[in-house]
Amino acid sequence: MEYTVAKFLQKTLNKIPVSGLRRILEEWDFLSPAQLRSLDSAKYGPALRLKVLALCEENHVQTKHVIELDMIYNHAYSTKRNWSVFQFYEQQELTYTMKVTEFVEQFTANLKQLTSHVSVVIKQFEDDALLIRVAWGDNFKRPNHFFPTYAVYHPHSPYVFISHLGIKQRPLLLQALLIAAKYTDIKEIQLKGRCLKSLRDLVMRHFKPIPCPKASQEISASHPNITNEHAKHQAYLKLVADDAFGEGTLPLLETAVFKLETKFKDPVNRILENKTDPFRCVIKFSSPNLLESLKSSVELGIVNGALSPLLTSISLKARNHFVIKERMPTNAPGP
Amino acid sequence: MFFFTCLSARDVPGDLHSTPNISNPNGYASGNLETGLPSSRKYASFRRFSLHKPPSSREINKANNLSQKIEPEQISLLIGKDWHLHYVTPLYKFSHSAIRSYSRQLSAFIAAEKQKGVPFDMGSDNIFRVNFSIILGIAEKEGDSEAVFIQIYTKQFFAIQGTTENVIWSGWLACVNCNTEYISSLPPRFTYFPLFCSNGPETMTAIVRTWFQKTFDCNFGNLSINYSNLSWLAAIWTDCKQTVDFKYLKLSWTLPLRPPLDVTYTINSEDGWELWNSIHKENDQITLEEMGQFMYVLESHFFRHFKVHLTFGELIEVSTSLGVVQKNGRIKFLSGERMTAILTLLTENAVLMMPV
Repeated sequence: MEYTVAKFLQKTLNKIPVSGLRRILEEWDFLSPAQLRSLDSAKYGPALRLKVLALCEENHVQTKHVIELDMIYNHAYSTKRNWSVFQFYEQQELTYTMKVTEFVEQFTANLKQLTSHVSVVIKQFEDDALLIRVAWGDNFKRPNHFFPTYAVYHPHSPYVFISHLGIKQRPLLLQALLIAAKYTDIKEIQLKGRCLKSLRDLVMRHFKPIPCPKASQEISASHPNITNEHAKHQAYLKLVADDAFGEGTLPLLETAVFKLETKFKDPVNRILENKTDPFRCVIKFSSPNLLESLKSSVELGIVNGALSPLLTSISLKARNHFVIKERMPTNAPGP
Repeated sequence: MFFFTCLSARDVPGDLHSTPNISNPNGYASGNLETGLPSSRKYASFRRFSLHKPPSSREINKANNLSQKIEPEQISLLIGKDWHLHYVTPLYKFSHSAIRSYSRQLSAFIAAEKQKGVPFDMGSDNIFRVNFSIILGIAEKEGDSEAVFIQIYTKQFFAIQGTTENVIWSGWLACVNCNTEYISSLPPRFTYFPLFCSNGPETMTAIVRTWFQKTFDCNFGNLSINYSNLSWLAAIWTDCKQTVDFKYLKLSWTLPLRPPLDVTYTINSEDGWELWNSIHKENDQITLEEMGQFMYVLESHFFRHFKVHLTFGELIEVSTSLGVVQKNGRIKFLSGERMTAILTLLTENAVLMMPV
């Protein structure tokens, strides 16, 4: 697709839901208050967007303005993207006050050194997070503004959240981030999700299950009254659930993927008993709110007692991509 | 009986399912209900049940490949489309030799419906043309009626001459390996196609259904595919591995949690095949026990890791690179492999679902 400012603006506007358009335009501050007021007459989405487009062209809109609009949109609607989490290791020098301007300069300079034709814009929002937008080009092409990479970095934390990073651009971006943030190593941790705040809470351990020591004592009590027994059992299940997940709202995750390479065990029929290689399968859990679903599985009694260690490790280890391997004996004699 | 054997295969003692299995197969419920009926009705329902009893094993004729019997162009009509499944009661006074006039009649009926002001989401100034054809070779037994394929083409009324028509809707009626006893018990002049598959806008499906109901005095209903039939398909497709290669076997479940949790279980095809091979004994047929055990051990493997009973939820989809089938009555063939066995299964299911 041939790039023009108008096309870029139109695509960006089309992404913004009508309900949030006005707020975002106000934050953008490109249209004058009088122009914003004139938008009131257009009620429906397409008409409203056409009017905004016309007004922007009147104001001689440029690429840098649209980039800003795109960034405001992506900050407000960060859940529309899928974010991967990266962690920095080994800080080079212990600096308690990292200057944001220095980071921005270093990052931009480094990235431009590594590759030509790249557009970098960094913007700081109120919550101290740096939103980094990189549009990639190459020696023969101008930066592609339609598919930019976004990264969110909180200075003073060793985590960075990246979305839409191509395999070719990956080493470039990671190296530039490393140098600018003054660390020696960066690794992807196996956690992906849409809600940035939840991902941050998970990796920074802001979310901690509160252990309930009473949970294990309740089970042996016997009651003649069935209703009472049932209520007790429900209370017990709730305790177990709270034990694993804590009370209150849970971080929002949509998926968890387990790649299982384990031995197939069938003690009854002894199927595949002599198979030496692991049995390979991939199990994906998906739900609008995965941790909430898992918590309710304990409360509803679908799992036997406590949740399996594999499922609890999603919140404990702050990960949602796992490869489970079993140490396999090379020449397996039967157990 | 069908579900009883299925249960006994599942109730293998072991440390895995230590809590009682709460899944309640329909077989139990219908068995209990029958005892409450008066003796004559009981006899009738028993007769019906014995007529339509699902088999405890299935023939999977490997040599009997559809591609050798049917023209490749005709197979390609069936492959790659998402078919919505329905059951149909026997058609009165249907004749394979009159399909040309049916084409005209249905075209006229669609035009009339459009005139009547039935909400049309397929363009108001379009003209429709219907074509009935026969696909020879899908029918297996002597009593089976040859499959009928219907296509509806559309063209803009003011289109420039030479523009090609687009197929907007297609559907077919089939009968594969249907119970001969049942077919012979039908009164004369009835033709039986238990299975009806449609692909295209819902409104057009509704119009075609109405036309059939008016013309042949029949009735339609949506066909859903239950757990055991989905399991049969999983077994049949896995068994194809010896003739065609495919990458994976994917089983999707949904668990009734708050919010609902979807679980997709993707099994590496080589390991799945090895597992199937250790269960499967005879070459030409798959038995109910084998199928039940296959699913049971896969579910136990899951339970061993996650301590969650998949049986609490519902199996909603089975997919491989050979085809996809969903619980709510959708099927997509991506290869002609074992199509006869699959169509036999669907025909049987349609006969069972049909109210008599």
